[in-house]
Amino acid sequence: MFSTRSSRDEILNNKIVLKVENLQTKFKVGKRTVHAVNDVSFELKKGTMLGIVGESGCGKSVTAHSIIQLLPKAGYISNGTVRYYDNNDREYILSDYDRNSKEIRAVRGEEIAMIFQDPLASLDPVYRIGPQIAENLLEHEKLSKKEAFHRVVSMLAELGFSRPEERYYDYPHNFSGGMKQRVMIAIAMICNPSILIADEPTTALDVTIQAQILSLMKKLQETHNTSTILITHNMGIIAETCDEVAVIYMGRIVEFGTVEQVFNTPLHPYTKALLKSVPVLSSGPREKLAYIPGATPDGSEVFTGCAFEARCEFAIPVCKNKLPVEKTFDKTHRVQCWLYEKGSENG
Amino acid sequence: MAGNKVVKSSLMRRNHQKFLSNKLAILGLGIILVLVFLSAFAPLICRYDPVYIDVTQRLQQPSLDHLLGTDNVGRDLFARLLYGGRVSIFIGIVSALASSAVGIILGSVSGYIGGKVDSVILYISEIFMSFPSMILILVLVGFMGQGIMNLIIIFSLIGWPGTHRIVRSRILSLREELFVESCRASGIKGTSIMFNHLLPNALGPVIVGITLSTGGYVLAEAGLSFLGLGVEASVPTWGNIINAARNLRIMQNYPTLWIAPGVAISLFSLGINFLGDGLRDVFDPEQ
Repeated sequence: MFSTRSSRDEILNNKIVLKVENLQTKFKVGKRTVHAVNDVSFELKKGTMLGIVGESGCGKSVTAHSIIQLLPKAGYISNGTVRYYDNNDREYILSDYDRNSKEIRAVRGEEIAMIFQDPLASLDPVYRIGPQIAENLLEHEKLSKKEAFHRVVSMLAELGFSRPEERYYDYPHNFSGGMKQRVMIAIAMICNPSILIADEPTTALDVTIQAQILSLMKKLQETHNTSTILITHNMGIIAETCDEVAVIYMGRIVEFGTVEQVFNTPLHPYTKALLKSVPVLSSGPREKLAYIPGATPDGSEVFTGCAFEARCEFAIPVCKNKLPVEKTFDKTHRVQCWLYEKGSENG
Repeated sequence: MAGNKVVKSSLMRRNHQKFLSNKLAILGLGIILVLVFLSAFAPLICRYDPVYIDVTQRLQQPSLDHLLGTDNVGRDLFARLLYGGRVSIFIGIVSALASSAVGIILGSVSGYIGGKVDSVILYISEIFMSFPSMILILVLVGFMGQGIMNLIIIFSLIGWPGTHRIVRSRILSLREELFVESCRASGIKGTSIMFNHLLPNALGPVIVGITLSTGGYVLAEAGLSFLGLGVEASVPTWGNIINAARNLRIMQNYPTLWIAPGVAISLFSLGINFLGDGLRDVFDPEQ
């Protein structure tokens, strides 16, 4: 249903727009410290879609929010760098900025925009949607009100609103959930950002609307050549829309690769388990859905070994004591697991 | 281009209808409008100067010449009532607006910034609220002296904690809303989030508060002036008019002198209360 993905080699040659290195984000909750993101590194290439997938509470959202430092008061980046390269190849070290500084505010919305999970609560109920979309535009570009109005109306038209000039004057409560998410996309895309971070954009929507929103995002990504980070817990969405995928467990990227690599030859036991627990229509009537035993551990726990060890069916003694080293297969397929200690190309 | 056609939203229309269907609120609004209109156009309506003393005409009973009679120094009561309404209503409205403005600003600051700033402002407001306000007002009037401006300053100094509490608690809950996060993701400044997004969402109950406290301040002015602590006795206000009638002989023989300003005060605060209750119903989402 979606257009075909760019081939792997094409992706490899694309320019890098975002480079995250050894990112660590912690939360101070009273006396406890929660390690939400541990040593995450990845690159996002121009015009591609990267999926971040994992269970609830595994650090997907925090990873994405750390990029533009949109963290709650208790959260802070304790280590690592986030580099962003704009269209003129200027480098911005986002992790060095103060979280409320002018510099980071200039990047937010203009260069890196974000869509949230719950479109119902993401719009200010007392303002008409047009001015809300225009607000982002006027914050970052010097435009007259009239020019902004026309930009917003053409954006609404692009997003499939009929009668956009009239919808401009509607309040959020006049829209359905799917339409509100379109408004959110309009707010995010109005400045034509190079990176769009979508934090579970379809979780609050029903399945048919999900498909519409995703194909819309895919279309926008292609027409505007935007790079997208899509956070989701839905493997199906990743398979349908993304070029590359990062599987996160307890704040670590346990597996990273192109969608073909990860879905055709999943390496990490966690990825395998996630793929197995997707419900399939063709399964028999009495067939039980596979699930991963246990629950995600508490974030304040410090692991000396692999965090997945306790729930892993392939666990070997070394898993408990030592952190697995990252191995790379097939050039772009990275995995952190002791099972692949031997046999990697450059390990 | 249909761009300039602003369509009224269904919510606004519904609120509008809800207000119009509330008969008491409409009655209240009517009373207030009539009183405000009469006071505002007093010079056009009255034939007499409210402070002109005409000893030959003292203590006249109501007649066509003097609609409500004259007081013990011969001033026309009807003129005094309308001119007095100007001062009393002015004090009521301006005090309500000023004290709410202080409350709104401090409430937004303590709600949005939180932390130590919030605690300090909260402690100060608690001190004000835990002190009997009438005693505080008397002490302050003693310090600052009488006068319209002084009264307004004192009222706003003492009246802000109520609004502060309302705004602060609304902002505290609104601050966690997702739309604030999405504003931050668009790179919008903290101050503009606070004043453009949080405050308008918190304003409903504040408008009700402003309305109701207008009545309260009119009553307070009347009370203080009656005690001789409000506005100077030479300026006609509803309180001063009653004060002038504070005499056993006048009370028994010339009841219009105190009934008329009393009715004016009661009507005004009754109207305000009806209106305030109507507005509260409109802004209360649970109704």
